[in-house]
Amino acid sequence: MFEIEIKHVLKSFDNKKVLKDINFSVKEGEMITLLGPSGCGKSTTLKIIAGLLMPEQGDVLFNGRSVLNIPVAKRGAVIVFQEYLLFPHMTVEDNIGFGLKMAKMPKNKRAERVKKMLQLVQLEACSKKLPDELSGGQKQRVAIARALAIEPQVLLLDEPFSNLDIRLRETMRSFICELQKKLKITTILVTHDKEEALMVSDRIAVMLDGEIAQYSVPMELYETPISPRVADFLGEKNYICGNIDNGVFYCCFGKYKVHTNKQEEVKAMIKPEDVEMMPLDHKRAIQGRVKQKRYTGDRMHYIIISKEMEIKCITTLKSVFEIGEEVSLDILWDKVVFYQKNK
Amino acid sequence: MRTRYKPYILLIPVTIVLLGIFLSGISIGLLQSLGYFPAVGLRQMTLKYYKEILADPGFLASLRFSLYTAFISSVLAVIMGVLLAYSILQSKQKKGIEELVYKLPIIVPHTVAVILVYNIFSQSGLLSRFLFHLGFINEPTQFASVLFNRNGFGIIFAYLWKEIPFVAMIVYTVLGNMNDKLSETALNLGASQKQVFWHVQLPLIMPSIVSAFIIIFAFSFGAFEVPFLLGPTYPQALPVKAYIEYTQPDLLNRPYAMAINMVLIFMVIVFIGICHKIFRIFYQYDGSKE
Ligand SMILES: Nc1ncnc2c1ncn2[C@@H]1O[C@H](COP(=O)(O)OP(=O)(O)O)[C@@H](O)[C@H]1O
Ligand SMILES: [Mg+2]
Repeated sequence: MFEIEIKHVLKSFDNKKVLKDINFSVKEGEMITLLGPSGCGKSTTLKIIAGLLMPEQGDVLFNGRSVLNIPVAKRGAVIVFQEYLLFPHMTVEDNIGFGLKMAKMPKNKRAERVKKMLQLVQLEACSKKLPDELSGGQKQRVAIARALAIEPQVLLLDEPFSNLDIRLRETMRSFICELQKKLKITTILVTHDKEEALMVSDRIAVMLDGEIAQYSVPMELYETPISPRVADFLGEKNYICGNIDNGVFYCCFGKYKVHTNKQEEVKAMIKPEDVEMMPLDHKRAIQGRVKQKRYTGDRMHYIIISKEMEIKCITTLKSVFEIGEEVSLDILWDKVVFYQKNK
Repeated sequence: MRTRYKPYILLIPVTIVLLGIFLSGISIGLLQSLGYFPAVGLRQMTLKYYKEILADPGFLASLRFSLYTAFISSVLAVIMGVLLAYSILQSKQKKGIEELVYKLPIIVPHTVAVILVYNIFSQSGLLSRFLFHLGFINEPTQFASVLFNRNGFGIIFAYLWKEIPFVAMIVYTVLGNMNDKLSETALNLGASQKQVFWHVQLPLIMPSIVSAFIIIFAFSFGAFEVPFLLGPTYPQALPVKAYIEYTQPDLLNRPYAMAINMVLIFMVIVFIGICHKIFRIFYQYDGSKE
């Protein structure tokens, strides 16, 4: 399996810079996610790695060697596209065997490998069907089997789950994760769904505006986003401005002891789930009134007005508050992330 | 319900006229070929005319000649048309001029194509004079006559000139609209550019190619003016033979002309059937579910 390195990759379409200096690396056998909003250049990055596009500048290295002059067909990096792109005129088994046939593998060896792949994706019963006769999940599995059949060194998955319904998405996700762990193929998954990224990846590269904004393990990414931009992309946040002096944070709600080496003017980022709500209690520092509540099934999203600020809060359903009700808030200060104010 | 049927209801008048003309023409032809032609006193239905033409060596030679010119020109036109469309699509430069030039022959009538072929290939034509001036031949009449002879060169050439662009236009449109991503996928799975063409693009445009082939074959098999103007005196192409029988002053010859026409129609139908069969065998996928 290959280790991948992307170095200073640039790419424009029609004078519009789509990728501006992309840098990241993937370890052998690792599964990482490229996470970013639609149109930020994720697919373009995958195509450059696979060799379907040439970067204007920069380099792509597999195991330390540049692969830019190796054509697509020989690179050993296979993309599974969002739309599956099965060949409509071929049966399932011909689709899966396509790469092997192109490589002129003898017929009986090919049949053997195709059979193994069909077992792997549990589609033995569909081997003679045409793509038109398959469900979304089945098409997806054929596309994956077709990619894996040629034993690629690198597997590139471009939003593979976004065309599936929620339940199927869950099944396919764990299926792919298990498969990846079993085969230990170096894998890059592309998605715009942050929960998906947090669930399946060894590491996550957040891509914003054609740049990698942060590259961390899922927990670190979510708990300590490197900038407000990354934090906001991962979900709605609260920001409170204030000053830090000698490990004490001074703001409109009072002063709190915090662990940070930031100094002077800062912006505190508080995740809505790190705000605790309770019935009005005058001993607490922060009081407010519920302005809005939204029910999401397993959580309740509140907006609370306090000192003319809107504070977002996400709680479990253990205790429920009404609109207009006066409440007290506690902030889990050790979970708060501080940014220098000008950021 | 009413709105669903409305388009069909509105189409009824046109359909009646079109089908009426078509069916009445065929029925009259069929009746006359069977010897029922009251206008000249023939009332007895008989297969005599069919038997006679099918036993006539001249007719069989004509049939063979028509099949030969139609088949060769259609096969060549399809192959070259596909290659032309493919190479225009592959060329990366601006496509405006190429697109215009290759479509030009489609709008030019067949008779003009004939004049063009005549001007180039006849013994007094451009090619002959050119070779004469270069000294390859001593006088223009030494130029081997490529027109009006039994290999049907002139006919085939005129058809090719008209039909290659026609095939190219159809294939170009279909290929151009085809999902490029399928080709990218194939490349990504290790296929060469050539393999992508043979294993992905060609099978997917096959339905259009077969349709184009059937259209041009049926047309050139049944067309009259090109073989009439460029063909040999013997064997005549079938439509030419039918026309000559038809224009005989003796109306008693009319059933022969009609029998030839019926054979023409029958051959075309059989041919289309065979094309579909062959096509089904080679490609399970024909663009729609079976
Ligand atoms: N072939 C192309 N020609 C022109 N613009 C393109 C092309 N491919 C992608 N783009 C543009 O580049 C940007 C990034 O595209 P893409 O990599 O597909 O984004 P993502 O996969 O992250 O949604 C988009 O704005 C898109 O419109
Ligand atoms: Mg994309």
